[in-house]
Amino acid sequence: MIEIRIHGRGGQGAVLAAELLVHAAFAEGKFGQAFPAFGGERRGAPVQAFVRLDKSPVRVRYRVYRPDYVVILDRTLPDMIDVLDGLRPDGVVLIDSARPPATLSWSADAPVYAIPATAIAMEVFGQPLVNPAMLGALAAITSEISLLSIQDAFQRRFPGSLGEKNGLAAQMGYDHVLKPDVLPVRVTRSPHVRGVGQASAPDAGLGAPGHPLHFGLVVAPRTSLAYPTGGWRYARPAVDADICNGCGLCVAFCPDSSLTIVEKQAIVDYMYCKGCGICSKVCSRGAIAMMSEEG
Amino acid sequence: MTRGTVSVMEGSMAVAKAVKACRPAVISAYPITPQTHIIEMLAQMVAQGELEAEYVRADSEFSAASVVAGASATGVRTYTASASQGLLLMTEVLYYLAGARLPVVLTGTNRQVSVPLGLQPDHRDTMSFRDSGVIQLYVENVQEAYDTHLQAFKIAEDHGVLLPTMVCMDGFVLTHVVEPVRILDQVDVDGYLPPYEPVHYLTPERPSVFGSYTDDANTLEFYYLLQQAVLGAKAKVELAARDFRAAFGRSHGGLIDSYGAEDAEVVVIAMGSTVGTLREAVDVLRREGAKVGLIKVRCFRPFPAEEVRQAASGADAVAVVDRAMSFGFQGVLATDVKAALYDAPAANRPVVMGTMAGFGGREVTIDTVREIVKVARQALDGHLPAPDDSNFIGLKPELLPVAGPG
Ligand code: SF4
Ligand code: SF4
Repeated sequence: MIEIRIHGRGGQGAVLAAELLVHAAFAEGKFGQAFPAFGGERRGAPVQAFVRLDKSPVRVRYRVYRPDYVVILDRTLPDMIDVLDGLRPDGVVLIDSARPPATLSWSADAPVYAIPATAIAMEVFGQPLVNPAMLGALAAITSEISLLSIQDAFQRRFPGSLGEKNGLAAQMGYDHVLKPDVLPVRVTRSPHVRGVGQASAPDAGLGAPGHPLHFGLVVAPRTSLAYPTGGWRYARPAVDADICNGCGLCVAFCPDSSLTIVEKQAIVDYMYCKGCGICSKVCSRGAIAMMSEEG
Repeated sequence: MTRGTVSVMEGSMAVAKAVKACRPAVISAYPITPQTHIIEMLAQMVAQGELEAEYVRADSEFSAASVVAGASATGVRTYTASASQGLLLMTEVLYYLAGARLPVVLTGTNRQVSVPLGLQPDHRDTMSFRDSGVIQLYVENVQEAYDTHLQAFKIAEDHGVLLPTMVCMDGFVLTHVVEPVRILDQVDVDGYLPPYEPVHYLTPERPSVFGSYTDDANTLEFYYLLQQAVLGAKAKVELAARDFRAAFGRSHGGLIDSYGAEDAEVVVIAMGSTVGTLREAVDVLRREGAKVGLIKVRCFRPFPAEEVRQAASGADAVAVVDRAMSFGFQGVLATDVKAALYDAPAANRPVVMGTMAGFGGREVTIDTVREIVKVARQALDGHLPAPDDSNFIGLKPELLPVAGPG
């Protein structure tokens, strides 16, 4: 049995990727199981999906704790959560990144393939749909599943030209891995990784160390300070100090209380700003521009 | 003999397809996670004309249950589904359905009950209907969920039963998993499940009253009849599974299913999706030299006391994996298992150990089972003063208040 854990953000298609892997494996006569981590799904929030593939029906029903493969659909995730948690000693990591893997934050030593899936997707779709290139790359790395089955799975889900585009992107991801100069980079644990549990402030929130549960789950206000939702952001609001007059309209509209006025200037708290862009829309002076988080 | 077509789909889709194939005349529901996909898919099937049924979007679970109660009383096949608080909001009506002997089929997509607010599967919600007269079947995988919905209508509508029947499937773990499942052809489902023939139903031609007033002169007798009906359903649950196997070549057990229990020293008893993990654990632990077996309680009400007794009485110890607790006493399933084994001859009455595992959605892994079996063996070897009836497996002491409330 091989076990795969896919890390992505809500809306990125991690669950779809997991599902399509099972479809592809099934077409090859294998059995499989795909399921999401259960929680309040939100766009942009880190999400996980799990896949098991086997020659016989999969019976176990728990999350993948010891993955053979970790597939990361968003290069900012290693900064926020411990994506390598439980990776098997011979496990392999795939990440969508045009940057060298060594520059990212890792919690353990592991061989990492950087797949330029966003670049491929922009070329093929004009949109950052990273799934097909990542799954194509996975097909090249593991012998468990063929590129053709993955392309077929996309084609069945998205009949017509969209399916063909997905197939092309999968091919490009596959081809990338097979290039002679593309080898997994052995990354080492980086000191600055925040890691699981620390994505939330370690000293607050439900059940944090030193904070036993209240018998009625009654908590003090502002426990959400422990959840720095800034990690969900795709785009960041940038306030132009020369245009902003400190009127405070954006403050009133920010759904996450992430704006304050300091000395007649709007200041964004990037720890919590989710990048919804409402402030940018409501500012009558056009002082707030939304910039891509990836730069 | 294996009929139908296998394809990969979400558990909720398989349930929707099963319900559709059973041709209900009326479906009513109110959305709640993790039941939502099932009723969305059914609503879509109705909207697209694939399923000829009345789909009633209700304004609450109480209304949804009331709608199917009224519809069922007119003598048609009906379906609803809910979870957690939603099921609890149906409570009054479910008791009514059982008393009025209306064979509604419903899916309980198991989810923890607030407080704490959460989405994880456990059995607190559906188990709260233990004493209502509703028949309850717990399934372990998507295939069983599909097959059991077909069986549920057959059981519920049997003229010797006529009781609401609930198929309980662990939320997310089974409703949101994508895996291969064999879907039957409509003609085969029609062959297995004939159209519903009501015994009593509301019609202007033959006016009647459902659920009329009684007093102490006859309520006792009414309860006696209800008990006979629920007990009588045991044979029908077995029959529905046997007929299903004869028609389609597969079975998930009748009232119970056992796996390696015959020669086991330690038998683990469980319900629902943890059973799959337990099957794997039995194989793993047996390879490690531990004689472990498994009994799946598939039908929780009526309770298969005799079957559990026979299957478990060869073991030295029985560990019950409970996903629901009767607070102030112990695990709900453990209580029933003990009661069942009380009637076993003293010489082959195993030690019974209740464990709270999978409770609150805390996952049961192979290691969890290893731990449970270890504790059971310690109990056997007399290293524990007495088996603790509510072992909270995997409890994190650091989360517990040092002093009590107050
Ligand atoms: S609404 Fe625009 S001008 Fe007003 S405080 Fe916000 S950024 Fe500044
Ligand atoms: S983008 Fe603007 S409105 Fe949205 S969360 Fe960030 S600061 Fe608040």
